[in-house]
Amino acid sequence: MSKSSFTALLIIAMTLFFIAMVIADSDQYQYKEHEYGEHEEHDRFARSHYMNDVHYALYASECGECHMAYPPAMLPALSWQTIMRNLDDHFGDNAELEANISQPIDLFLVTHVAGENSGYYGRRWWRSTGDSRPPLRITETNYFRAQHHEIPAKLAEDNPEVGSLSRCDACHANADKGNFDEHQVQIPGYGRWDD
Amino acid sequence: MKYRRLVIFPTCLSLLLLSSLNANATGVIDQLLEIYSNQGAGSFSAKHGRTAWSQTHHVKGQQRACSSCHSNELTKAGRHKITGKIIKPMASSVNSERLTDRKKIEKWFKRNCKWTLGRECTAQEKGNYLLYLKQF
Repeated sequence: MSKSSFTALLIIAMTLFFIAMVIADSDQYQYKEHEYGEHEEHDRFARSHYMNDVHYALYASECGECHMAYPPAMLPALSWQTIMRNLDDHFGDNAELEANISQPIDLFLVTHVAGENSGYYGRRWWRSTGDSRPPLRITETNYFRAQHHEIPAKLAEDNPEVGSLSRCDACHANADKGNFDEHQVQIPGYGRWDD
Repeated sequence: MKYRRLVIFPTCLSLLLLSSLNANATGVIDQLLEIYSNQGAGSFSAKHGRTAWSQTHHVKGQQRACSSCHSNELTKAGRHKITGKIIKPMASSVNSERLTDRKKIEKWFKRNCKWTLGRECTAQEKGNYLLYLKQF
């Protein structure tokens, strides 16, 4: 190969490499979402163990009557404890439970809360809290906000078919199976969400 | 009768089984009405139940009524005011599971009376509500 054609080839290769780096870098979230081979495992919550827990059915039926039964790993233990101790004023509603029902649910939640050993999402939710006092609302946790900060209000809060970011299952159709894969998101009235 | 014992046992057994199968809304409501009577309630009124259903109460700075979430049309679905979750109709004529579980009825009376009225309902009030709902 001649010197000039080798140089041309080198420049083209470097340009392509540069473009590839720009594309790869354009979708970075604060928590390095793609770091651990995100695209290979889209349903980490689905494969987590909380749905196999013997008390899961009780949790899903009692805590899923008015809203989706949220995966326990979305909040740390302190938040869940505070929620369970104040069910008579549960975000403006009364969700009181008899002790024989709330106690197994307490145990279930404490077993599967966000933490270092609670799977892919649980770890990230836990780490995102840092030293700050964890909020009671999943939608106010750092990890949740990082994942949803690009969504304009007209698609979520101001969308009459959604109404609130707390309604995970409005856009994440497989949320009840623990699947929050962003590539399966369908926003009512708008269609697929593409970053 | 010669075979009295032979007849009595299976008769009692079948009556027992039949009574346990009567888990439809009417049976459960009647059981609860009897319990409320024993707790000191007077005669129940579906008319009072109807009035109470749509009566608004000022609680924690809000106007609240049963119909806020359950709708005034009992054969239609309601909607949770905050979460937007669909609440199946209160009428057992269109929702066969409605008002068939005593524990469930008591659980929701406790929560919803506290939220709507700011206090637990009395046995009289609960009976009135049930007699009203029984019509649907």
